[in-house]
Amino acid sequence: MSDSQELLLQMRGIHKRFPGVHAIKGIDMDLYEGEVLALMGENGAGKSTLIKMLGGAHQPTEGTIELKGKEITIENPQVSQDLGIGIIYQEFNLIPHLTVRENIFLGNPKSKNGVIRKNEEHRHAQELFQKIGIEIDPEALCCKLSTAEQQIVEIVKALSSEVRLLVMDEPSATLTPQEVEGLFKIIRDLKQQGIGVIYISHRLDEIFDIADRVTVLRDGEYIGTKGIEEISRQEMIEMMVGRKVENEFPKHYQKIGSPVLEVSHLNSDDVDDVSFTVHAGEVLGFTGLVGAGRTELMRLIFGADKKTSGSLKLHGEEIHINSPRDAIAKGIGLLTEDRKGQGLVLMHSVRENFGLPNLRLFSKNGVINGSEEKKRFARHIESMKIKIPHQEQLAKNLSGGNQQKVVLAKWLEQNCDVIIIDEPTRGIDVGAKYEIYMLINQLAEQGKAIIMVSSELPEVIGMSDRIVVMRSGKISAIVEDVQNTTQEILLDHAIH
Amino acid sequence: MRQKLSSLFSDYGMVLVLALLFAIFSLTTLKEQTAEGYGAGQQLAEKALSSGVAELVLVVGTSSDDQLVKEGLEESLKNKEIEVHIIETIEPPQAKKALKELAATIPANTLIACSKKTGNWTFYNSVDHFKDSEVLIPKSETVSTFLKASNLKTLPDKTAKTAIIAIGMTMIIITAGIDLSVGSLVALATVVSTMTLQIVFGNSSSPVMIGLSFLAGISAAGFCGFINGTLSTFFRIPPFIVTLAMMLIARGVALNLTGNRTIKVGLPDISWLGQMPNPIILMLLLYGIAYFVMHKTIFGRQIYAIGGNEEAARLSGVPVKRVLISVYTISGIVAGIAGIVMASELNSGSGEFGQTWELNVIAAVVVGGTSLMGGQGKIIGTLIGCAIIEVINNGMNLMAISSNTQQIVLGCVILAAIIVDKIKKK
Repeated sequence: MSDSQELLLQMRGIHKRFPGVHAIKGIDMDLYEGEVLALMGENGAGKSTLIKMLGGAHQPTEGTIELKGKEITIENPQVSQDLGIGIIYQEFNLIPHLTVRENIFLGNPKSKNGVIRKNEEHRHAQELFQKIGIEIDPEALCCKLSTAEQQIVEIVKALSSEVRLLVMDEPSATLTPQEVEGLFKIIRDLKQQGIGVIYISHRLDEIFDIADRVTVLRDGEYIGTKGIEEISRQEMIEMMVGRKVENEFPKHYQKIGSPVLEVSHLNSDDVDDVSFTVHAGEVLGFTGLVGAGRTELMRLIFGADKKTSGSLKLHGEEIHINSPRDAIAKGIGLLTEDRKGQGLVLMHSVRENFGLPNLRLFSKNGVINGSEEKKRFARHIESMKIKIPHQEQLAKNLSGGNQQKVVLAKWLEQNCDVIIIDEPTRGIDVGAKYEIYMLINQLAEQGKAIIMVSSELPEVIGMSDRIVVMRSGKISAIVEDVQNTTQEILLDHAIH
Repeated sequence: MRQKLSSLFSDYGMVLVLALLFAIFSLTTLKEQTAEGYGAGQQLAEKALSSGVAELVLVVGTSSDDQLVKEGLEESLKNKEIEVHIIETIEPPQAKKALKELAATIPANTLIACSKKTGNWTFYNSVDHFKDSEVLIPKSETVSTFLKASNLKTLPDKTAKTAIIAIGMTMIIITAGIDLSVGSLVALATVVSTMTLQIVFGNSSSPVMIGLSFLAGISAAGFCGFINGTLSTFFRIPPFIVTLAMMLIARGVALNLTGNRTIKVGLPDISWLGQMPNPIILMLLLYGIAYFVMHKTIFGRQIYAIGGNEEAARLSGVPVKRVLISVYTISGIVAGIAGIVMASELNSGSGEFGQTWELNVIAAVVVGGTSLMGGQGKIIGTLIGCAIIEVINNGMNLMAISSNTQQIVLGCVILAAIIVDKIKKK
């Protein structure tokens, strides 16, 4: 393909040194017009740093960047934008209290004599949404949108100006399979127009679906570039982690015990008459489209939101939960989908994060026994192989996988009987995913009841004993025979 | 090693700043002290005061210069409760004789102060009664007015009240809130406690009654803090607005209660609490408790967690509302404590007290390294912040810098503190 198409971007011998860290060690990368290049690697491989150089947030310490054969220096984000480089970062950069339209045109408003032409912006925004095939009201406030919708607004925002090169950093992490299909349609459109796309994702299925070539990085080093036809899924994983990988979903099937949590006729604004039971030693998968009410249901069970009616039974006895505090006291733990926003206090140490729900366990008359706290946390660090230099490490400096383990440690110390994990592996790289799956297995073996919410169908199928599919706040199906189900069957339940 | 050093600096950098300020003001307030005339008298008085004697003997000649020494000393010791015995002569034998006569009436080894001229005489210690007396002779020397004991002693005195209020403010700012009402609550506490004593207890001088009226003042302020917390949590009103309203309400109530007058408490004497070093002891005690609470208890950990990420704290089972209400109540209580210290110092209560104190307190907390974004800050940092601001104020006063310029400098200090904080985090 490189014969027929022109080279759009050429990066040669790129190095980036931060104080004390050599983050990027001589990376070469080419991107042709009208191609999708998948940039792969585990967290910390250097993908984000590389992308930030294109976005003007970082400058390379060494090496050259050429755009259409002309050497360029990207000093700041404005230069990057002017060069026609569009970047969709992993973290949202939307302003919550502005409307969708205002956010989309924030950088380059359509205006006449300094007055914003609202109608024109509105029309343009609607056109863009139509092209993607997703309906979002341009006048809605961004803070009222779901994560998935916000992601789509980010994409539309990047497309609203003229771009030659589009970088997408995990655009699909929060999207459902259907929405991902919509996204791919847009990307194929962009290819037709000769736009080069750099696509970053942890979901291997997608890479094989959309990418033309794959460039793999590991620990800041360039590992290699392959055409998508020349490489298998297994090989790609091995390039990323640098060793042999046996099995992506290491599910241990085992005997299911007695009912632990029974939910009956639970109702709220987003949840419609939901009943189900989860047993000891069982992993109950929950899937469905974004907005199907899965996360909302979990928040109801955990007491984070108010239910309008319905009841819960734990070990056969009715329990009343009015706040997360109640739920924790009863032995229910929730690992939220938004780890950084709701699961951790990022600016505090991992030890303090671990301690937060557990302080009563190692304190007397309200006074914390600090050494006991350290001792207990150390046990989890060892058993879960949490990689941190010391317990005072700030939570924000941890990789996604280690953050997830710290949150899990919080609930394990509580000795919860029911553990709800919402999107257990979102934003977590391949190697760490495997470890999280193994931990889920261990918990099930210890007889805990596990509710696992996930949008990744292979994960749901690979790790669950039974699967609950939700649609519009209701349960649309409970799949018992997981080993013989397929993604198509689940999607069918989720949509119709 | 390098990391240890940098964390040491970020934890205790403020101490370095404080030390630097001490050094700067020590140098900038250096002053030549003369050994002659009026200045020499002042110098002698100062030394006598710092050695804490009750009596002294002054030996001077009759020249006009020596007379000025006498004047300077007498002037400086006015109302200072030191008895001065004066021997005026130019003849050493006469002076010796006078000294021997004095021996009958004053204690042995009383301090002897001389002028430069009489300081050349050597017989003082040969009189039996004054065998071990210290002989003060004025010297021409350069001393720093800032480092003088008499000045340094006033420093903690002024800081104590602000520092006490700053305990509550630190806790609130760590939860990402703010309390603008503390200055008004100080006024309210002075008014409520003095009026309770006068009207309810009929000017009783029993310590119990005085204690109870102090308690009434603290409770009034604490109650206002409780209201602040309750309104901002249950109605989700930003604390800035709630406490702004409380600032107006509490001051208005205090002024109405007194009818714009100052409540003077002549008798009984309630000045015990306000006398040095009692406010300092109280302040240190409260800081000790606050340090323990913030770093060793569940409650402290929960305060930090709420400021760091309120939703994550709630989902981890932290009773967010209860903790926030407690924190605002504590802020009210410590403002009330500062109020009774003030009432005690001045033997009075007034709705005019504590105006704009909230700004000084917030400034001290910020200079002490607490982040207005919440989740980060140290209680000891606040104490150092208070000290830094007081040292700057005091130093500038000694340098005779106008109050207008002082405001500019203080503003710059606050900005510098925040900028340093930002750079440190990068």
